[in-house]
Amino acid sequence: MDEAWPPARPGWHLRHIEPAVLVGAALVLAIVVLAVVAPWVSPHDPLAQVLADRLKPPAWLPGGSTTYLLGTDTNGRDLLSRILWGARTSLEIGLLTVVLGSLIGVGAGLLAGYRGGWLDMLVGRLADIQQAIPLLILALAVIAMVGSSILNLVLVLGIGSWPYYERVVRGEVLATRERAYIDAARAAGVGGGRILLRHILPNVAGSIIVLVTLELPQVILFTAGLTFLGLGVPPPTPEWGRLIFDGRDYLQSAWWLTVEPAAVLVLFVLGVNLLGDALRDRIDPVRRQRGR
Amino acid sequence: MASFLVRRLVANAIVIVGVAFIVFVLVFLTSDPVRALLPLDAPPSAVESLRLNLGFDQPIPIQFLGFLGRAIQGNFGTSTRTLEPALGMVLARLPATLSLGVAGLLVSLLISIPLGIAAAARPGSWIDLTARLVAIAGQAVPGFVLGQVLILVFGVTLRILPVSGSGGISYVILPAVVIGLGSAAGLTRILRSSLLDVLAADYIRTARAKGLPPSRVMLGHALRNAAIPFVTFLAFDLAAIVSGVIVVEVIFSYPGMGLLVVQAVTNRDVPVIQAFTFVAAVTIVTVNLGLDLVYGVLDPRIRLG
Repeated sequence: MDEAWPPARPGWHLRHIEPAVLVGAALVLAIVVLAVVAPWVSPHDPLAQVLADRLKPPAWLPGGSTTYLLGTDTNGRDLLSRILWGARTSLEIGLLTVVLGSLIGVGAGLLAGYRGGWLDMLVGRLADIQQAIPLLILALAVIAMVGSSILNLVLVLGIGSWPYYERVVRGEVLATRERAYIDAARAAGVGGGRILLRHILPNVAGSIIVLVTLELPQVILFTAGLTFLGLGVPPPTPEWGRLIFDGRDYLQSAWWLTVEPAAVLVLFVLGVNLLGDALRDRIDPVRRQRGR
Repeated sequence: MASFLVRRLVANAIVIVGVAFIVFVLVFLTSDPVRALLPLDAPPSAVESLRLNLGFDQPIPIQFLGFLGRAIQGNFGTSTRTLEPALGMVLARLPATLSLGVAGLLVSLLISIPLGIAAAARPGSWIDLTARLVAIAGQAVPGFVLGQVLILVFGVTLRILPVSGSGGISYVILPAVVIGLGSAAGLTRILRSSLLDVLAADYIRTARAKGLPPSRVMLGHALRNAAIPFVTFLAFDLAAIVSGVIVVEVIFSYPGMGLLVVQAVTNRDVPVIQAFTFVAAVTIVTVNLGLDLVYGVLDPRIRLG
């Protein structure tokens, strides 16, 4: 590989962007914006129960009304409002978890890769141990002990996902630290911490962004899965997994309770994946050089 | 090969001791570890005698050694609900869960290997597009949603497959499809891209130039070399498969370890949760060791290096 003269990056002109990426970006943007403005645009209070209006079908089905565009649940709560507020909960948990996990993982990866030696060994072993317990099982066990709350979820999923970031960042640091400009910085008397943060971190930032886009939908699916197992976000807080879970006894009579929140969840994950794939194709240096 | 095996075994033993430590620490997350290990209605005298018995008055490292010693002997205490040995309860469910996991893996391989090969043989064709769609859908649709859709279609509307419980092959089909489709998504993509990388190599051009039929080139030369990233990803995917099995067992009320542990979590049956976490981790470490050996067979450089 010719390190001194990296190939020019392909530009971000609109005509180079695949339609799939535009679809992905539109999906993610729409759902994030709706989540942010949920308090102002949601037609009802997501927790308000109108028992007279239980299990109303969506507006386009017979018996539906424009008061409840997407119908109501078994307690007469407006499903549209719950999905919008649920987006806030799910995205909040996802973002906080990814931030926590990447802070620990990137920090550990930078140190392990740069210092090497016993520190690298120790961090690697800790990551091995952590990864022997699947995150879902670790979360199940920990939440069973400490009880379920949004904070506990973020803590266990965030701390539990650090090896994922550590492995990739360590590998990237190993590849970066031998480069000429790092030697030059060291020869110029720049300290280790400054080299890590100012010279190495920016070079691995692209990979970290890709990791985050891959991990965010995973965390949201995880939280939904945990809620499905009865351990995620405690009721009555709306969260996508909780909404899907609540609908499971009414699949035949009121399918919209399950299908509508599930569709939003799937569209969001799909959108992030489409974006993440495109980013990975741009940033992954091996693929970029092959032009694929 | 022998020293390779010994090195892997030592590394795995360290990992298992580490896992035991995490499992040991779990009870300290509750307000009183001893109370967490006993039924709610246990008399104070029983609490005190267990406290002394398990050495909770000792320093933490001594306590951990005691825990490790008991764990090696298979003693994780008794379930706070049924008062049976916790490890026995978990192991009794292991065969059901393993057969579900293996069935799911089979479905995954049956989808991903042919689809990955077909997609790599004709990149850009309709079959490549199908493979991409399967991969995207498999990654975006969570198992618990797919499971419910399958229950609705095959169990409730068509009524051709049972949707809950166990007892014969027909009970395994739907859960295995849910696990398999989720895992096939990633595997198909990995196989396609590693086959494409291999197909660009010089020895493939040589094989083609000497007149080998395309199927021989693909299956005899390319597939074997593309298998290494595939097996790596499979090892990586193992945790996801195990997690998927737990969720799927709950959806289909399939009486495996996952259903047991979710009930244990609801009841705060700590010894069962500890035993399950340990068994799950040991299973994963063991399967990974098996995959390491597969590597050694696939690539002589790994076992000699």
